Amino acid sequence: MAKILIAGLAGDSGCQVATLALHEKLLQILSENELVYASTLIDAKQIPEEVDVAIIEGGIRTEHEKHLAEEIRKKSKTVITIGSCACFGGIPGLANLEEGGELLKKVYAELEGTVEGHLPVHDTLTNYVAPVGNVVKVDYSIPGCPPEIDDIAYVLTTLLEGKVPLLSKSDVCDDCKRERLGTYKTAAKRLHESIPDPDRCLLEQGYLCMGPATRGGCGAPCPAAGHTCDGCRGPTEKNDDQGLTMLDALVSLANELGVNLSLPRHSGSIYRYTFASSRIEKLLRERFKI
Amino acid sequence: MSLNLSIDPLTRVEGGGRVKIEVRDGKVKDLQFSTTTSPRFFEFLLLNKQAEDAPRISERICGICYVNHHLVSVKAVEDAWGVEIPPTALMLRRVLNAGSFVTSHSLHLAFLALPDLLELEELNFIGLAKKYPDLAKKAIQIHEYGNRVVQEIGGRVVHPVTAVPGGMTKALTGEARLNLLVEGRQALNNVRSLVELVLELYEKRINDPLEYMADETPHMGLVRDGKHELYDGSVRAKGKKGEIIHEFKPKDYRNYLEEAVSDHSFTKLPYLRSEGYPDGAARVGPLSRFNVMDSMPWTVAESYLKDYEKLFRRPTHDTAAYNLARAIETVAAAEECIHYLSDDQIVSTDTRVPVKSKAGEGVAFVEAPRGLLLHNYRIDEDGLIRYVNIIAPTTFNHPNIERNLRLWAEAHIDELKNEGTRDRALWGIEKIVRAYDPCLSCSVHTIETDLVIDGEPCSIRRFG
Ligand code: SF4
Ligand code: SF4
Repeated sequence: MAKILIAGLAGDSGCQVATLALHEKLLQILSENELVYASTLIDAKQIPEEVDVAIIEGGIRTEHEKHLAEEIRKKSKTVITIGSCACFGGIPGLANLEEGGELLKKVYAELEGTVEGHLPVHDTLTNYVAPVGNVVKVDYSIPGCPPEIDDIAYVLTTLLEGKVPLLSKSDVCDDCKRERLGTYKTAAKRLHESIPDPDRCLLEQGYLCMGPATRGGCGAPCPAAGHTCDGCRGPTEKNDDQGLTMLDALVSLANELGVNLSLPRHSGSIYRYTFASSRIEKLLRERFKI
Repeated sequence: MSLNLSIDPLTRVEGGGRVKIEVRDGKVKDLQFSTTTSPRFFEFLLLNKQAEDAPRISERICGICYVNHHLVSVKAVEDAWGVEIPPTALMLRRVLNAGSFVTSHSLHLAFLALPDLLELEELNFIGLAKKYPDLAKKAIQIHEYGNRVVQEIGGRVVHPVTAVPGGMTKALTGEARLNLLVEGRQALNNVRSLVELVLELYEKRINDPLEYMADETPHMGLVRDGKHELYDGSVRAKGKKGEIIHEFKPKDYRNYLEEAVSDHSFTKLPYLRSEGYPDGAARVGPLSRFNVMDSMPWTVAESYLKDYEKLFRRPTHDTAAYNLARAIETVAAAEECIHYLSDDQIVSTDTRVPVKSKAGEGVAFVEAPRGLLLHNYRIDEDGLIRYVNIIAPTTFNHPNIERNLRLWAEAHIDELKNEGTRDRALWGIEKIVRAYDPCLSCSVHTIETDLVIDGEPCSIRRFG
């Protein structure tokens, strides 16, 4: 009878919603264990003193969230981060091109339709979005935006059985059914401009598919649905920096990249979920002291 | 005598929020409803990104209304680029959007609201599953059905990927269509029993008019030819007395809507320009959609609308009607799925046209389960986003929720003061918040604050 906690930090509750899609399996897990805190589901208002398995969704954007993560860590035997926000900072990490105070100014004072010079007082905002692992020790991670429902079930049940869950070591291309012929277009194409061949590898057709740089295990649903993989499961087992891995793959595929890289623009493509944990972001901060 | 009460965190709502009440000399001196989900600055982080990526990035604003953000975003880009999508793509998007209502509404009803309505001892879904296993099973099937629709059409259960400027990247196979039809009919049956249960609960309790209360406010929602609408159409606004004050096209929204900035909550507060602030702060969501429409386009939902009208006037301001309207809308959404899935054109593989990016401005609305949702982008000649304005449903509802709570707290002041009845009164407060089904992560530019400035007026500024 393990005591389970679910907490949401800077994320969108999507991982919790994905967890709910476990339905009967979730009810079964919850009947064999005890849910002690989960503000979207039950009415407990305080983090209990003793927790066996803590599941954290969302990254760190405020001092409050930092303290919450620390409190949960202190009271919990095992801490799992669920989803790419908690694991890598996620899409909110794309805001790390600016530091917190500047962001407030941009969104509250400079955006058309807001009151000029009227800044919210928000002393608890951290300067940058950080993955939970930057703040406290994390025992297991379930990446994905959101993670596959089966992954969530697998990690939870394996842990509750006292065993060690293992993530897929493959990349998304290993999962993908599209055919690779080994020939590449040099110019990059944008997905709305043309309709890709439904059976052929998207990257080989010139679309920026993040498959080679992304951890597999999802079964590649996005390439199967006619869209590129945008890298939601973060870097593969062998690499820690998803964007650099992708650049490396691109350079070795085509001699000519055909794009001038700009961070504001391309962070949204090659670092959509992992900018906050990338080497480039660290470099930028050191170099420009932002 | 001074008394500070707080509900922190609010539970069984989406995202983080809290209510603070300050009672002094027997009166409610201050009441604040705020979201504690941290700001994530989507309006900044979308800047300079490729516009065709916006549907996949912006849906991460909300882990529940992701389908609606995905769709309104693609519509806004298409509006800027002047794109017409193939008829099949439009049908697929309508089913996708309706499917998200099935999922979200059933989740709210069964997991969050029914435990209150049934006054369960264990006030949550686990308690519901123990006491009413059959009901829980049906709720799960409905919820599962919505998820299946989103997965088949959107490519993933949560955070779908298939809407691109120009259409949908995935066609529906004949087999998937048949399965969705069969499961859809079963879901419709299950939703009907859910609605009947909710109706029964309402009929028993409706004599307690003070239960949820609310001010007279304007209401806003989409209509198509005057009928209830979830995906397209024009925005209709009704005033406090129920009269139609506007019906406008999305691209004209700036002529009708303005945003105020509150000094104490730093939420943007959108309101109807013609009515001024705060009188023009309109409510949105199931209750408001029921208030603004003339009738339902679907037969089963229309028959339940008749039952609804026996309990509530249309328009009504009573927040208690939200949950019943939500239940009936779940029927409408299931019927909409079945309607389009029954049309052979839905399996056509002609789901996309290639499009060219160009400079322009795009505005789009859709209905999300919690209410009207707006995305407005300006795009440059390289197809990069240069300006973003997003108004999410909870942003519309925020000031009204706060006023609703205040009104209720004032009427129940003795119960709040008395320790013996306080817990039940605070529960009453939470039930009202829950009735709106606020999505606190969704309120894009709402942020937490502890600053209290009594009686400070709000500053108001026009767009552009
Ligand atoms: S690059 Fe994309 S489309 Fe190509 S094999 Fe990898 S995942 Fe599939
Ligand atoms: S294909 Fe890529 S974007 Fe899609 S679920 Fe898998 S890792 Fe995420």
